Amino acid sequence: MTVPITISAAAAVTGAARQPSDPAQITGLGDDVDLPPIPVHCIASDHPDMLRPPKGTRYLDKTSKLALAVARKLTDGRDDLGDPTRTGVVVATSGSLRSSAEFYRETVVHDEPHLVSAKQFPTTVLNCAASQVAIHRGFTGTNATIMGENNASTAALRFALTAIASGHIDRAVVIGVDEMSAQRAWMRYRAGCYGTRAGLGEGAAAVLVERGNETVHDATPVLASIMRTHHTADGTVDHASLRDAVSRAIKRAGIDSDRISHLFTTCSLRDDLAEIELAALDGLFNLDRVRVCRLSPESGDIASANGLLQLAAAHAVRDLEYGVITSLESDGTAAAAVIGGAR
Amino acid sequence: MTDRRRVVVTGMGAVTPFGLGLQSFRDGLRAGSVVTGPVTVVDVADFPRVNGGQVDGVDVDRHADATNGGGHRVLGRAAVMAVQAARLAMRDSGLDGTCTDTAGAVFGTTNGMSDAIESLAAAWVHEGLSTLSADIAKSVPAGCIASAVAADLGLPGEVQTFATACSASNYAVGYGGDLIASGEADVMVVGGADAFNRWGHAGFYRLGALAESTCRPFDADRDGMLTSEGAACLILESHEHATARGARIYAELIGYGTSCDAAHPTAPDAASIARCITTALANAEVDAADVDYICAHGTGTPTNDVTEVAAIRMAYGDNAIPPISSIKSMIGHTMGAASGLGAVACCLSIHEQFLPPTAGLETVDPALGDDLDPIPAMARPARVRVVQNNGFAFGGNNAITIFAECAA
Repeated sequence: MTVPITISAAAAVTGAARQPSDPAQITGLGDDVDLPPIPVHCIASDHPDMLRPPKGTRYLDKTSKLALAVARKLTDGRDDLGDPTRTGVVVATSGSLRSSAEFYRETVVHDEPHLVSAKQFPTTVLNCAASQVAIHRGFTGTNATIMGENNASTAALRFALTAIASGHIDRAVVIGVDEMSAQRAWMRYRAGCYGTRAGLGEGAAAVLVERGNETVHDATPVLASIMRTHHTADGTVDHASLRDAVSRAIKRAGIDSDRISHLFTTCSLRDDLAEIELAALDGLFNLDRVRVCRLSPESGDIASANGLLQLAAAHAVRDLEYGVITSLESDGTAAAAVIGGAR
Repeated sequence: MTDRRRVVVTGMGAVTPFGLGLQSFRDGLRAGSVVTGPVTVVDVADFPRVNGGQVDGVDVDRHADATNGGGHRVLGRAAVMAVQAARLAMRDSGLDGTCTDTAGAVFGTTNGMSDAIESLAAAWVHEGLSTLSADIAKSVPAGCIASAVAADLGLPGEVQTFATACSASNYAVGYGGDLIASGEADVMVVGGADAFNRWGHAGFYRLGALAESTCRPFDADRDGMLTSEGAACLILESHEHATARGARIYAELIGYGTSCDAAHPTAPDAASIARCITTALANAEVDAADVDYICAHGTGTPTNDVTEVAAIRMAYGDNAIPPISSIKSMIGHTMGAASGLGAVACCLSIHEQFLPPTAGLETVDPALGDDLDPIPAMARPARVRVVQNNGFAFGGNNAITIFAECAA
């Protein structure tokens, strides 16, 4: 990257401190809906970060509420964000499957299918969370929503870096968020995208990505970011794309791989991807020497937030020389970002 | 985009209610054919509004079997249409998936895998969520759209699916262009796709946005939009890569701009759209006076058309508004594919020197101004050098791409 870009702040909203979560708080449950037989975690309505939501947001989906909460946590009290037209919002999410499914359901269970709630309609559109963050935080620059499950966070970071480097914006609030609902739990369970031990969760993470500024203390430089894809003959995922992405990202960063002190992985909570991710890294690093930082299983797998949860964690590490954040999805796409230690 | 590599369009694919392929799209645009009507692809017979647009010939199973190197993978209808459009565009460009080591796919969508979500919801209603099949569950994530294209074409590079609603294709085109301009990639396969869905039809009806029979943007008697479906794909290539292989170049992508209203979830904001126009023109390093044609977002709702024209007047100042038309008058609102199909129309406009029409237009709304030229009824020959492709969306997500004749 020719333009120096840094992470200057990070925040997260997770339920890790409030275990075990109360299943009754999971959205989308009802008399005709139960949960699959895996651990499912949620953010309770009395979670400290969810209290005092902005006015007029009670009708919103949980994804949007979580995004608003983490955006507030990241940017409240910041009076140095400059021109709002130069501040973008980039949200990585799976959207609210519950909202879309419920809205569709309303059209088939009633005699008059068109009598749906006009107010709820925007929550079925995948960019609802990003637009709500813009509305309530006043950011009028680029506003993007990125889909991609476990790769979504790193993809969103890629987009933000490119938008800043290309001159469209000067900074971006990059958010990774997923909600847990009965509908989403069944979708992930039936698709085989879960971890038996950690199960599924909800939450959000966010970072403030800015054009490099030497005056900002404790900023984490982002040196490179790469996405790669590898397609196998039988459609299964292997470690080739991730190994390729990591190798290229380190080369792009212009550093020797021996200087990587930390690896921040994102697949450890998934039975189908954890070993593949580690196999990719095992071929590139001496895993006895490098510190491998895994996601906490306490909150469950928060797919779209995983990469940003790890980036937020990396931002707080004091002894980091260089770190790599990795992600991989079952469609064979992979991403890697190389960061430096905070100044 | 000074000091950045030039980006050109060398292949295009369109999957629309006109039919499959660029030829049917071109012929439909030139003739001003209205191909919307009663929708059958999804059952909306029980709604007060039943017209819309739909694509015939979408073969889900055939394309699912062919994707991912032969491995079986069930795809939603939007992903299948995206794959179809991408195959057409790739063939049109004369490239193949192994053209470069950095080629990737970036697509946009509004509703993602809407048919898979409707299947999930139907399972919930009828027999319970526990009866959900693995194939349907795997096809729900919207990210399937770009990854299906990448898998089908064997692209090894970046894969992104944007969900910025009805401006999503323009985000994809702009971002793909940035990756080439900055040297990250030599070739990018970009576009957008959405399938007709029942919940979207219901939502737009409830907002009072659906027309009773036809979509007539800029007409004094317009009464709304028609929900539709489709997919668009453009092959973006660096100018040097394209010229080195002697490729046919449709047009040059000279810039794009975005803005967010940050004001209302569904109502557009003229000042914010005007800022998007100004930003896009500045990024493209052209003036308003240079623009020969505007491919409007042009939904045909009373409010949106007034807002769009007002925004253009704000941004253009004393400059005259160039001819402006809405291809939604012919094929309906294809949602996440809309600005991608607008981009295809713009490139055809430049390459073949004609202005696509606003079909079905009888009386231009006087509230839009006496000088508005919405190119009524049929396409018109014209000298076209620079075009502006508008894409606006729920959430105030505005994105505009600018294309130009490719100079040597």
